[in-house]
Amino acid sequence: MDAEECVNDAYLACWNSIPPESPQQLLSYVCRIVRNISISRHRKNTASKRKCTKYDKALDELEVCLASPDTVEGAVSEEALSKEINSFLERLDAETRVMFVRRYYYSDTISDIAKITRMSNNAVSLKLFRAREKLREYLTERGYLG
Amino acid sequence: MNRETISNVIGKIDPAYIAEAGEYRVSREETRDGRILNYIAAACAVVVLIVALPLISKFVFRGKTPGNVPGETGDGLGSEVTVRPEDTDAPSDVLSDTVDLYSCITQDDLNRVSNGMMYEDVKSTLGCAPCAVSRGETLILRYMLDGRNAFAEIAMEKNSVSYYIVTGIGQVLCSGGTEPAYDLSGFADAGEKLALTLAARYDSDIFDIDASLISFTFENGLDEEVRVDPLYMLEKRINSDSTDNDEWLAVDYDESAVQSGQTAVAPGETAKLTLTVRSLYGYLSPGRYRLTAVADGEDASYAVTIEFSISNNARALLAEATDYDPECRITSAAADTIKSGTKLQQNIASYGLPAQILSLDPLTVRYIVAGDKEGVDIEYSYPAKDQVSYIAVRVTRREAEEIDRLTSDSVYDFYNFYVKRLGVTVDDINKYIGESNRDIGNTALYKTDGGTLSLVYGSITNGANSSVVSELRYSSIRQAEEEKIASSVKKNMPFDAVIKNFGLPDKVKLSSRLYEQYVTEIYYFFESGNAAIVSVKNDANGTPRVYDIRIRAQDAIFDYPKIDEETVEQVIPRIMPGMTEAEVNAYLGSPRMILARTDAPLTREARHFCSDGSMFVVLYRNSDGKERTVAGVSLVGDSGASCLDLSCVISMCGSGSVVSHEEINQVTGGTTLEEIVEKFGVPTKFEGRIDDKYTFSYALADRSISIHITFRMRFYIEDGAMRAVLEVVDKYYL
Repeated sequence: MDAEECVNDAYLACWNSIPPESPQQLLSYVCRIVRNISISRHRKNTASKRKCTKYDKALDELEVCLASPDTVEGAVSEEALSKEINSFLERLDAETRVMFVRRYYYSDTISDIAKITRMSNNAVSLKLFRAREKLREYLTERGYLG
Repeated sequence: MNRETISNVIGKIDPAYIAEAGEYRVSREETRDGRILNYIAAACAVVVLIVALPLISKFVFRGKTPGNVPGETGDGLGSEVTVRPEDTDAPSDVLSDTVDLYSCITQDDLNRVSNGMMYEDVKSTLGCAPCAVSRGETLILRYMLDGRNAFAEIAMEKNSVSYYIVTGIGQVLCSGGTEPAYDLSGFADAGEKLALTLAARYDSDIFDIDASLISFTFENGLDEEVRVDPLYMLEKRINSDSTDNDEWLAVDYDESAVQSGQTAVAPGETAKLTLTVRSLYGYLSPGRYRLTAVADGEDASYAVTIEFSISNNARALLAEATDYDPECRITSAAADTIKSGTKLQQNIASYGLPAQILSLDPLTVRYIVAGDKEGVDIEYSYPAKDQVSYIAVRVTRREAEEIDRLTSDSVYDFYNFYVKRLGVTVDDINKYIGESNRDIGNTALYKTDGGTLSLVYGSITNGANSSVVSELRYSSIRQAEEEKIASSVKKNMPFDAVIKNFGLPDKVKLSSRLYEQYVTEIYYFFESGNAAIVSVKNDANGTPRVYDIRIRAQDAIFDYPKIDEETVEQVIPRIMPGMTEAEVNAYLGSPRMILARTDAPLTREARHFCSDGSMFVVLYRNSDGKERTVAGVSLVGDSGASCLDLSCVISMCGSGSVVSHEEINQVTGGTTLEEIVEKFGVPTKFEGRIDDKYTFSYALADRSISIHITFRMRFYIEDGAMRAVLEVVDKYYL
């Protein structure tokens, strides 16, 4: 039910915004809309009670990976960090990059990604695990993580 | 890095990568059927393209400005996301003060518990658990099984039983023995993957207390050298009912224990690897685990996986002996030789098995001393769980048993002691009435002959950063009538007289105004649903006396006065730095909570709670030892707004100015809010606060759009005082 409503809301948002908006990449644009609406819905659904969703699990993985006792996030803008993440993604091979984005942007399950990439669940988990480690190293080298 | 930041950052991944991931498909294999399908797909695509061309033409796009995505609130997609703090509290009645600390269950009882049962059902089947431990989202209930020879654990997640494991003393520590690797799928191509073999062996000689030292032999069956990565992935199976649909959850382990450097293994050779798989929080809980290591070859990486089980950990060593004897004794001389820092293995080797296991977490055992009947309690604690961290050579056994069951008189004495000395610490209590029978979370439970005494520690610090008792409960049943209390308890009556006439109160609560009023509230609950709240205050001689008595509905006891919405909107913006504490309290009433601050120049933090769920925090400083004055204010919580040092600007928003593009282009990163207001006047609107960023907007001259300017607070020291300015970090049109 929630998914259907999110799709409806996304259609409506697209209809209302295009035109005048003119996204260069339609897929990315629509994905963003869907993601925003889905996250809003998720936030609403989990505001007063604890639930563990695919979205939470994916975030948990990254949160553990990027935990830092000497965080400098207060001094670093998200914009700068976003640029670093994009730079990091550029360095990954296409397959790993797709896995990373599907897992942490689309909140896909390991099984879903395994089907898309035709790998075993374990191989996907491992590749993501190594990607997270690399991300951690990458951000540490650049002073984002203590 | 918090979840919101991560979500925000991920939300800003380059659209090109999003599109790439969205469209990604593994190319179809070059089979005959595959080629046919490819042709069909290509033909369909052409048809669709022709049909859809007019529609697509609608989306001939020229560019995009930041923030033009619906649902985006300005500072990025993820700014919509707020993940509330995890509620890791156990069900309230786990902390019940009526639990029988020494109750046992039978195997038949346990068999009636099944996966998926709700907590209430477990409780009705087995009763309250004598021991409950909360680890993250998992609540572990522990029951003694069949006397003291075994324990049953039931792990519950999200209020339902997700799995349960019986860990009886005497079980094998790890299952599996020598276990060949079975999953060699990885990144190698088909045909190559079977060339690698891996065997896991659990060796009792190297097996440590936490079942965390895993030794296995790695055999390289390839014709090239491989290097084994010391980092590995550790997962725990979170469903135990089926092997077909296993679900695994990554386990955080202590990376500091990982050996550095890769281990090279030549073709045809084997290498013995030892991994310390101690988890981040000390040891691995019972369950099925999967460890995946990586070997890098010349052109490919290979994943090798082993599975192993841990059915017990620290207590397994105790379990090895089958002649466990609760009546065994050690000599007094031997008891004297037990030292801190010694290992559990050493102690078992020297003194034999202990007579009792007092607690599993932390592992605490008791040796009974022959002759003079003393008991020696030894606690083995984190982080070295097999290392003695604490030894209590207790009073004689008879006295120890008395401490285990406090008398009503001793509870009364304690109440008296407690009330007279506000802010009593854990150490004070341990000296006064001994250690608790059980600690559950931050609550210490004492058995008494009339019920259970519960002390809740924490939430208030006394300035020296030691935990003090913040709440005290007693489970006795109140017999007194409320009319009698209401009519006979008078102001200035000695507190002792209240206790003598009406018995021990059901609850004692420290006033949060710890440093000024020294008021303690005691509660008597009645069957009518009302409660008598007696405020007790020490007189000049230090004698506690009744300060006030109120009869209120129990439901309303914690419904303390809150700042109404009108005050939040009208008054709070007028609370300015420099105002005295008395002036603030005249506006807002007394704060609900006062905390000491030692981060100079701040000396005090007052918290006022608002009816909309937000909290208004006023920070005070002492200027030259004079009256406290406001150093800063902050409105945090559901409203999302803040007026930290900005109250004046915010209160005037709405009368805002109209600016031109040319003017606003002068605003650059680092420009302060003060400069902007001076140049352009008060903003049109305060958009709100997210994290430590504040966003204001100005209407642009043509009124078609507005400019949003986001500020971040920067602190600096000037003339010995801490000051703050808001500096521009971002601006965008909307």
